[in-house]
Amino acid sequence: MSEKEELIAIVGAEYVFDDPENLESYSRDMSFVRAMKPQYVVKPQNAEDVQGIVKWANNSGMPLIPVSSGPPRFRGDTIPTLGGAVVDLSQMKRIIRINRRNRVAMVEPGLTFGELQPELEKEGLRLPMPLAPRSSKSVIGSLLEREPTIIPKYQWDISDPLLCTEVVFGTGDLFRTGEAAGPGTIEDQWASGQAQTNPMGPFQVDFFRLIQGAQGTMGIVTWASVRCELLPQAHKLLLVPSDRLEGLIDFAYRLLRARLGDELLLLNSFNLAALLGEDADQIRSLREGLPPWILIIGIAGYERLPQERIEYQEKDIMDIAQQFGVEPVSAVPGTSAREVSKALSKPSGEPYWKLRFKGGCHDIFFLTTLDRTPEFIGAMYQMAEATGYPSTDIGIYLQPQMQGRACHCEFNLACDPNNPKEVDRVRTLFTSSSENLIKLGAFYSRPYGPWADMAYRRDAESAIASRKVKGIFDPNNVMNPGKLCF
Amino acid sequence: MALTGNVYQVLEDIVGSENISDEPVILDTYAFQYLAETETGTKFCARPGAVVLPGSTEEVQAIVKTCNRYGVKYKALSTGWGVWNAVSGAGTIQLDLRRMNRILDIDEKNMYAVVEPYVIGAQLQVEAMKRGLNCHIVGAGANFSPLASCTSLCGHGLSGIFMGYSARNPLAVEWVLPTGDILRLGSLGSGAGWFCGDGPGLSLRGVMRGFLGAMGAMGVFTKCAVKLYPWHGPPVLPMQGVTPEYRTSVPDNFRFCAIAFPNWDSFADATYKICEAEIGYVMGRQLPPGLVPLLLARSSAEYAQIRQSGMADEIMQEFKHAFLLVLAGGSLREIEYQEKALREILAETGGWIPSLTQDPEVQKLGFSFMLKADRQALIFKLACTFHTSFGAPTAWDAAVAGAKMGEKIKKKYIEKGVVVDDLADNAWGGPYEQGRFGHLEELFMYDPSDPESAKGAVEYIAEADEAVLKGSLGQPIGALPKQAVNVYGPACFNYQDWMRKLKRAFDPNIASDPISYIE
Repeated sequence: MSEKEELIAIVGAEYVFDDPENLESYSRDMSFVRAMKPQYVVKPQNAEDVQGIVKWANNSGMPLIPVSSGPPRFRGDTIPTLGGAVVDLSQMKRIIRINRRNRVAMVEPGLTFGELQPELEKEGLRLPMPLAPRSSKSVIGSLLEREPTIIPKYQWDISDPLLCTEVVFGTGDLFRTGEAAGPGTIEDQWASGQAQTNPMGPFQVDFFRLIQGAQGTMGIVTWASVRCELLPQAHKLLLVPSDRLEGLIDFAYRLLRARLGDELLLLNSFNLAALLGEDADQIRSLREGLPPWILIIGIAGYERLPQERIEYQEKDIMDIAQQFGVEPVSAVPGTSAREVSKALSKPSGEPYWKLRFKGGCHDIFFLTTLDRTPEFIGAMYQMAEATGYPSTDIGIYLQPQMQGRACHCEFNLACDPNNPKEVDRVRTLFTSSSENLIKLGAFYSRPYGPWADMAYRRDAESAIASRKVKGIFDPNNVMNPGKLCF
Repeated sequence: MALTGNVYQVLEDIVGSENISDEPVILDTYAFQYLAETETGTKFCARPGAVVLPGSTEEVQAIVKTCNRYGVKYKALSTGWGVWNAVSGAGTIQLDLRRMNRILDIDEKNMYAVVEPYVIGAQLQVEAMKRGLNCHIVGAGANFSPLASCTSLCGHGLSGIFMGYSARNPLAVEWVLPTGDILRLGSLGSGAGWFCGDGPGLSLRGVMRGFLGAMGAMGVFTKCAVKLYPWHGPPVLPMQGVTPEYRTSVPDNFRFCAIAFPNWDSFADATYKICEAEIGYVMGRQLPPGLVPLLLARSSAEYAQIRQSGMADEIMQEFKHAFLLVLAGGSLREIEYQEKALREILAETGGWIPSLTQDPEVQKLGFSFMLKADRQALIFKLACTFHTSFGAPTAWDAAVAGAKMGEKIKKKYIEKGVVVDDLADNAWGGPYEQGRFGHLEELFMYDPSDPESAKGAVEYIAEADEAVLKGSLGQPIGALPKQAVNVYGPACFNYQDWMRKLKRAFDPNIASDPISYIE
């Protein structure tokens, strides 16, 4: 049998593609990572299909590139660096279970935020989301990438809200991580009161941590349980404008310490405008009117005394604001808390908010601590100036993580993909600033594209150790080769 | 067996003659371990070949490399007690990390401390409180090592509802691998600081540990950033009394009480509701009914008298399905909100606050031991030891199901007279992370010096394991590694086969003693 026939034998002819148009669509994304066409695109329907595909890859030596989100993609991690077969999981989109009592959902990798949230709402739940994810973004894809969510209070560990997973390792072995491993089937576990809420283990190894952040290099996740939160019965958003970021940072630290507020994030005027505006003109006009920095705080009341919860939190926040000389308000010139709340509560409309200004966008993001962000921002402005990129066009998003212990610092460089001169300029800025930022102490915890080399060059021991792990779970290097340090 | 060749001399050259010993009397203090009888049938585990006390990461690294070079096993401990700290054989070096006892940094804004292995919980808590912060203290008590708890071991802490689970509390870690190479986890490896323990890319924290730690089998952890949590109390807690009877007043923005319920179902419902309302600061089943008389008794004889007199029966009955709870408010408004929410929950679930814990002196006593975990030795009063069963970190309903099952099985062993009569109900534990998971482990007390009792303990554990397997009640926290591998491995996707591969990849010479892991 030919390779294609073997694939068809596993998943069926209607789920194997090798037509030029399909292959082309998976060959590139919006990043600067070099394009490369896959040989096949295959769309498994279930875990058995996935297992068959991984075993086939081990026999044929064909690299596999797992993809769960739809386009547009941005990070280069789903481009087949060495060719191979793209395993598109978008058709595996079952919600296996929503359990209100334990605030947990179990879903397949093709399910998007837009598809999950309405179903959760019916049960009185919500899933903390990244900042207005694109409508095609897979929930599991986002969680496996350790994308930050906008409610730092509910992120106890950097791995949250990912819990247990079912995974087909690069060897072709099926495995379940955390308490889902057993004893008993998943149904037996439900019957005993378990709900796959403990991601750790089984026992002495946290297997899920070896899959998360691995960019599909260890295996393919076929379902995961995710930690949900209660759906607010009442919600109030406050905007705290400031000309100076530093003033907002100290205030944000104080709120994080007091666990006041749910949503808590900082945006510069450009990014808030990009989130709210429908096109470039609107974004420009909004940006002009908005204050340079806005701290966004959401206060939620849940099933228990919702209004009273909001009331005491708001009063406490106002007291603290007074001490810090800032003023939480329900509207700033150009927008209102209501509008911002709408934008944060669901996935982005079309086009994706980062693309509305120029049609393209290149993100630089890393982890640091909130108090260090002004230093990185200053450096970024200097580098933009040096390359002739207007600093007013840089979107900035600061997201405290792990209840405030770390901070996701993100710069969004809007770019017209049809303007080669501009693309070159942004490429230069992207590359040089990525290098400079790591020298300043940026931690590329999610090292996509060129950041992988930068990160592992500074941390050779992690590269060596990661390769040992890779040698166990994917000894034939069939899973997304060429990514990270593999 | 003493160390062969010139290994002793090489080690002495590394740490100095004052920091190494192979004196039998010294070595036996390391071999004398809690629960030894369950492993060896005696009060002693294997005697190590020597004990070495390194003072720095460099010395640890040099020792580990020496061990690899000479084919000698090593095993590190810090504050630890228990069989999991013991070495496998007489040729093994015990690394005692007590000289590495510094708090290296407290990052107040970003809420973490960087500590060495022998910093203890009480020490860190005092320093943290001065800065409006607090640290999670596990059930082992205030003299535990936060580093060891985060990197290597497991266990419930009463503050888990607000301060999480130890395995989820480390940030960056400095790790001398089994081979002697140094791995710096997360942001530390990139030279970016201590704020994150995961990445770049996949997280090697997964190799470091699961919900159970590797218990000394994967090298030595020399520095760790430990998460700290908000503390809304005074910078210094004014303590009264002497150990173990410490007392401290409850500040205006705190509350301490017991909450009791008519049955397990209402107990479970109330826990879910409390956690959803986000109102607990410290919460645990710290006083199961059988232990209540221990608050009054100074010895097991007095305990027996109290039980026989019936004077504690009513209180014991009241504590049958009860929690101890501390509420903390960042403001008076918040504590009022929390109190109101609690009252509502008690009304909905038929719960009440036993009058005992409203007594002003009990308030001071209870508040102290809930915050500082300074009464953990209570359980040793009766039989000088105890062991555990069930207790998977899991959804609360499953934890309660385990408690019910544990009670049923333990009754048989109480009737046989081989374990202590604690009303068969000694389910200890509580929720983590505002109820996102939790555990209740069924503790039991037995007489380690009585072979019949020790045998009964082993039989009880085997029956408990069978019940856990049959009832799909999770992966028990009390399962010692061999038990976990042999009993639970086949029921958990043979995870031990992958663990073995990791061990061999990271420790090709099997130098880091695998006795509490896998070889």
